Amino acid sequence: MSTLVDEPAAPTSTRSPRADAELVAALRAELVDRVGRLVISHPRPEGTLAVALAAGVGVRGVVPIDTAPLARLRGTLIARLIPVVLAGVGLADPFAQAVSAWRVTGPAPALLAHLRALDAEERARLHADVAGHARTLARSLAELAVPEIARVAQRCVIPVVSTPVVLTDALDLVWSTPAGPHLLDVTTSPLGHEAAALRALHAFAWTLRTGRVPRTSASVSTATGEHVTDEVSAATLAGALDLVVAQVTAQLAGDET
Amino acid sequence: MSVDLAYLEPGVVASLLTLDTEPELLPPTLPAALARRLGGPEAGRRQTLGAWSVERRGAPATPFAWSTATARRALGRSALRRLVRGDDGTLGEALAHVLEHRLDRAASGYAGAGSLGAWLAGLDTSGRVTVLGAARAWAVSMLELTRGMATWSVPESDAYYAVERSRVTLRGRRDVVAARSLVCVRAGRPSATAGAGLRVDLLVAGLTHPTGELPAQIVGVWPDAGLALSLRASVADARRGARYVLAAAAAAGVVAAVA
Repeated sequence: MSTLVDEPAAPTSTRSPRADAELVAALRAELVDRVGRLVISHPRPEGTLAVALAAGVGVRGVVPIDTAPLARLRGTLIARLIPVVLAGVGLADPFAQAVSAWRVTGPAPALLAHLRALDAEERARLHADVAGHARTLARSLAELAVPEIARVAQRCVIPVVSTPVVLTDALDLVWSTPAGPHLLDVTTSPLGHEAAALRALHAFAWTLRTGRVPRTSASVSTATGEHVTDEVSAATLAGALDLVVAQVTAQLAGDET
Repeated sequence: MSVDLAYLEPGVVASLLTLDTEPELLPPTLPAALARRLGGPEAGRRQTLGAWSVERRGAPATPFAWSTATARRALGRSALRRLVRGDDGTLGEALAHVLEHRLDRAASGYAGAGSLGAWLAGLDTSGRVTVLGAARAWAVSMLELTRGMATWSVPESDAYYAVERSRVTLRGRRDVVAARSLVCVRAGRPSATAGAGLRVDLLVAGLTHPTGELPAQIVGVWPDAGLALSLRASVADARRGARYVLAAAAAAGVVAAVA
């Protein structure tokens, strides 16, 4: 099938598919068990409890829009440029191109209103910011050899079966090689201490979504150009599971107060 | 029959497909019964009902607008058809042909003002490659879901059934046909009423089959959620699908009242 989707050649995985399948099954069972016990011990009103994984490590994009509208806009516009860069379109006017790409995705009305409300000074600053980050984005995606066939903006909306908990996550880029899936998170902030946890959480979410353990999970900063790639292992996923359980615990406790 | 839940993993949709059942036929009286309940001179406004409206108990849909979310399936499905038929060697080539075809239709006036082609024609390069990227992602997800299937095909469109003497059209989703079964792919996560939606898809599949033959099975797949629901089809399920349609029609005000 790899020829059908233009997948580039890559080393074959040394991991056993059976071991991966067993790992995924064990991970799902432990998630359901631990979250199930939490829900029983923290009675709450009926309804879904949405848990945004990135929020657990204090990542942008899950904070209220009013908190930092310019940073939110910059992050959104840079994310919208990813498919443009991957398609090999030249970045003659990154700001205008990002806005064009954003419009076809059905932008959140509140964020769009912020863009329209910018004064000339703020708009010029955002324009310059986006242009700078876009150049770094293009160079980083080339350095990381992200293929054109990579999937952009992949959502995870994962119900924890038999509980009201739904885990949500968004992955900027996913692509497959014969060695397995590769994940990439693009951030417009420097890679802080939370980036490693976020890479693990993305790997966890993709594993639950597809039943396949990613080969790697990476982050790239368009602010600094730095990038970090982690091999995903059983320990990575076990650590992420602990983070998720801690986050669900905190949200359930918050519901009670 | 009950709806069974499965976690998505490589090859799981293929493993869910049943090959050992004889096809059941929709009762010949069912189309007339639907027409009687939904039609007549007092029939209300024109409406398309399907799994989506049934799962939301007839709640009105938001006004339609083209976006990556609404265009990706149409473009991705056309590209997959070309790929599976062998018209193109790669998904990238197939998508390029599909885009070109849509733009040609818009330029020649065959596609109307609100059509996908007209919308694409109005976008600049950045907008178009964003839409194509979303279509590609959708198609790659479909290729992953069909892994392990011996033979499968991509229908040209969803199934539509115009209820006789009424202003109601029923729509049944279908993304892949394999082993006399239908695979329907949805965004987000399955709702509590997802089983009702699958039964409506089953009903419409039977209504649109020349001899009323029901698929052996309906498999609903929610890739975002990593879940699949499978329903081994029966006439009883199709009848339940019809009842859901009537309830949604009443809730939507399509018909004055459904007893």
